[in-house]
Amino acid sequence: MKRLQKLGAYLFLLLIGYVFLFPLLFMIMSSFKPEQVIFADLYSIRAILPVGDLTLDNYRQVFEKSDVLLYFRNSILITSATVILGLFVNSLLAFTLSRMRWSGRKYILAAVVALMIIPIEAIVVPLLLLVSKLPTIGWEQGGLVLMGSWLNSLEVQILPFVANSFFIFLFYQFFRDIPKDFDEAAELDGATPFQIYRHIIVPMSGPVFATVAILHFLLMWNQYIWPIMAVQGEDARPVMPGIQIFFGRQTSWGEIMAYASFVTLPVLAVFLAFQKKFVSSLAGAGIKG
Amino acid sequence: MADVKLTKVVKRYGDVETIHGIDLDIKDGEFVVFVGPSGCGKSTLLRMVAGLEEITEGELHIDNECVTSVAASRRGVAMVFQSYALYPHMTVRENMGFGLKMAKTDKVEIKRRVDESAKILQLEPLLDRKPKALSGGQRQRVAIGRTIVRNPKVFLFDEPLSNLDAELRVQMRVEIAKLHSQLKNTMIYVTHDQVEAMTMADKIVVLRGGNIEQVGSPIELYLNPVNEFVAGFIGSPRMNFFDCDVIAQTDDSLTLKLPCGEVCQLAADVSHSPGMTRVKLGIRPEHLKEDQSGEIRIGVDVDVVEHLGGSTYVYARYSGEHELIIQTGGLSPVRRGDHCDFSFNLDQCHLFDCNGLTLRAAKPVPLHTQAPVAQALSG
Amino acid sequence: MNANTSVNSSDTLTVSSGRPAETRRPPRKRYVFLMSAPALLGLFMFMVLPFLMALGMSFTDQRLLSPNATEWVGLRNYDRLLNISWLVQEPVSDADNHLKRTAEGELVYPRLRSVLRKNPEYKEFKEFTHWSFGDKRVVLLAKDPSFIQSIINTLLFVILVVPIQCGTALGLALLINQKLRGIFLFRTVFFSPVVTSIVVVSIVWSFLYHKDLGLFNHYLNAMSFGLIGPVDWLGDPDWAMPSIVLMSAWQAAGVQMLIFLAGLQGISGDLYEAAELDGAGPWGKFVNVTLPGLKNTTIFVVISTTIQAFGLFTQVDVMTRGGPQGSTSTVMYHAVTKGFREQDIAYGSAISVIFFLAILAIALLQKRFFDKREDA
Ligand SMILES: Nc1ncnc2c1ncn2[C@@H]1O[C@H](COP(=O)(O)OP(=O)(O)O)[C@@H](O)[C@H]1O
Ligand SMILES: [Mg+2]
Repeated sequence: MKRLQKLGAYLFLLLIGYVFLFPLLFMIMSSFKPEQVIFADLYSIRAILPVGDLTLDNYRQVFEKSDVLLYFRNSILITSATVILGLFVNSLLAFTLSRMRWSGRKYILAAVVALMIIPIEAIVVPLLLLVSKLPTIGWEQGGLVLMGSWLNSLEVQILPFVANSFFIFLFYQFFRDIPKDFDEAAELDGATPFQIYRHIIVPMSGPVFATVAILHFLLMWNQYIWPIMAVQGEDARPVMPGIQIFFGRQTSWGEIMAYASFVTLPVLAVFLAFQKKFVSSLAGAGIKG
Repeated sequence: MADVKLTKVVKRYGDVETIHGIDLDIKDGEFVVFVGPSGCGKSTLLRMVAGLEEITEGELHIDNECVTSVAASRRGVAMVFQSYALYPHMTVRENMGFGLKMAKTDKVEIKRRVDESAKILQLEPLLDRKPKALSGGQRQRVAIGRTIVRNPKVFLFDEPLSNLDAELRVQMRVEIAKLHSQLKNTMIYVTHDQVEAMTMADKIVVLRGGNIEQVGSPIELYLNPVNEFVAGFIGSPRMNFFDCDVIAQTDDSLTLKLPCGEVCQLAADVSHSPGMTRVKLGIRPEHLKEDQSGEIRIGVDVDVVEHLGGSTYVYARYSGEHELIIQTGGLSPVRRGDHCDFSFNLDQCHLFDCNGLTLRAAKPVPLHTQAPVAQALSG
Repeated sequence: MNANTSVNSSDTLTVSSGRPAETRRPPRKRYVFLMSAPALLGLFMFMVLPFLMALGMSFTDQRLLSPNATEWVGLRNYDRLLNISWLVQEPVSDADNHLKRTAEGELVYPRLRSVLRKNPEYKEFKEFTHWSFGDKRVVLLAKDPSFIQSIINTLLFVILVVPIQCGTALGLALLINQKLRGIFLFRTVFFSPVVTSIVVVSIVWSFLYHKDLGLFNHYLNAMSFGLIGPVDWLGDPDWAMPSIVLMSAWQAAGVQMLIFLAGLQGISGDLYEAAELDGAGPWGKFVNVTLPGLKNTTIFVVISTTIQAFGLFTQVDVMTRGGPQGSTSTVMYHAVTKGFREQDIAYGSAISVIFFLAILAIALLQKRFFDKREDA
């Protein structure tokens, strides 16, 4: 009886699991199959199995038709730069908010919380105008000069996303729960506020740094609307908008699946590697946010 | 010479004043205990000495130098926190050396000083462990070791033993006392536990509501409390108090009517408070005798009897409603529900006026009969 | 105790003796400033400033790239977005007072465009929709009918996706809260769509929704024994939005699932044991222990999902581009279309401002709701 119940539970879980896994597996498997095979396999379990004549043709086509490696490189640069800067900048503000007494602290905190509800889509349009008017500073002929606009660059995709109110809030919540005694002991030991941050708080806050790094990574890797607006040329284009190339003319689903699989690879790799961390951190972030 | 001198020290949080102008002199090498009920401002006062709280008004001198607005790390103080505040990601060695590292001390020198301090507290085998791998008592010792490394002029302790179980607490109490006799530094120790205060202090500072009630040695406070609060706070179990009507008053004596109706006369210098109608009489539990040898006899109804082995606490009611605690010898025959007589001597009574100020303290008992004091101290 | 003497005699770490006050470290304020400035600058530059610009520009005729100088236009953008009107039309009759009918027998009404043009009161208005009452026809007019359509679409999406997504999430959470070996594998599986880019998910699902080749039509056909013909999921105005809803719920439910799971695990096991002692069965325990225990979690999940749902954009952009016939255009999609693709930044900004105010109103309602609950 007990065993039967268990079997039933597993069967049900498998069914639901199939529903949730199918599109992802289908995408990956199809990327290795010629167009006709994709359609032929679609209606059977073969759709999510690596069976039949597997080929790398789709990938070859993707690499030929698009600068996917360039996009990939751009995405890696943008994502890593933003995440690293963000960890630093956001945790520093959270540190002053949660562990130092200063006038105006409360108002800044309230502002940070209020900013959490503004979705990126709500400000992209004015942001676009803003950055189109911001000049960049660069080297030219041995001197500092102001150059054109920010558009079509990597930094236009990095800098606006470094400071993030949600991540500041996550750091704030974590830091707030660390006993103040540590700071005071360190203060008596002669540490400056920055040294307290660097030597005491940061080493004690591994979990929240991991959480924010993961969430920020996801956010940045999957950027879509902003690069479409701010980056017209190929040079600075990241992976997600790049997929548009494969629509239009005549759609080759095999190639699309290959591209999609290729750009999903890093997220999946990170996800599977840090799976436990991922899940617990997102749950924590959600429940508190 | 690391004297500590507080002059008219005031602490305000916004509009709320929590420390009301404290004057205090602590001599070099003294072990001073701040004691008082929870919320009376002990920690605040200590933290102002440490430099962790700003001093709103007044001055603080350490070693004859004004350090009122000097940063905490430059005052020459070190502090043991109630939670120990050992950095969990550092080994014991790193914890102990952190202050020196911040001061950019040479690595070899850090090692030397950490090793020295570890030796004093027998911490050598623990140096490479993380705090998580230590027992409560060991953590406590590391927390103290960390302060020793810094070789401060003044050691500060904020309820350092309150996270330990009873047995360890007694053990650490002795260790800290030993440490003091060994290092001979000035130490300021905060506790709400009067037993700790009595056993460890050279000098006790009793605080209440942000004011000093009394400063003195443990025995002074025990024998000569300046008011009802100190009398009740120092000594365990608590002193018993009864309201008594004043029947007659001269400059140096009072005639009282006890709640049981008995009338007695006590010597007291009451020339400054004429015309009193009521006073409070205080008698310590250890001064109530099971036999009838005392001058005043009282009959009580016994509610609860606690046998501690070495002594017995009797919780009783005296003439109906007055609660009373009596401490008697180890094998008292008194049982719950008994009605029995106790007695006491008038010269062991304290008298307090209607404001709680002491009118008269108990006469010091000759030293060889001071057993109850020793008991109170070790209790 | 020679250790003691050496500690005491050795150099003092603390150097306060003789140090004048002016050599003290920089004041704390400077640290606060230096440590908080980078993030505050970022937030101000890229969140607050753009929003303030949006607010300002929404009263102008700013365009992304325009040779003409920008001018203040007051509330014109808001008027264009929100102004709604209506008119009633009588059917056209011929000389004998007979109602004119088309070949299909429908009544004929005056051409709306000429009516609107003739009447200055209806300047700029276009038809949004119309209803018939007897012979009469009521025409609802809007200056930007597609914006009104976008609001309705967005609300439809929210109303559909919130219960589906939260319900799915709760179901999944209950499933993986069972004590079964290897259950964490399923947790990973249910969560995997969340980490996959919504762009990628939208593309794969577009394929599954395909009218002729797609999986959905295949199964539908098979299960109804060929009775239900192929549905053009993303090409049919009636089905496009529900299709997007289904996919969105599927993609994002993992997040809410984890939050519900945390909620479930936060319910004390004692409560279940107490309920069991009181004779409650599995259903009784669910109703009397689980649901009440998840109350706060549920409120949080519903509200955060709602706010998120209002921002619907990417799926629409990838799968339908707002179509067919504007049936999947959302407020955000409209804002980006106008502000970026049509370069009318001022207009797009006005939409953003309205959107922000709406979200703010929801957030404030949420806060009041929570505060009230705490009082109670
Ligand atoms: N940061 C603060 N803000 C306001 N009031 C405080 C603060 N810290 C302590 N107090 C108040 O000061 C009083 C003394 O506190 P404290 O020194 O911690 O008492 P204790 O004697 O128990 O150590 C208490 O009434 C407390 O409420
Ligand atoms: Mg305290």
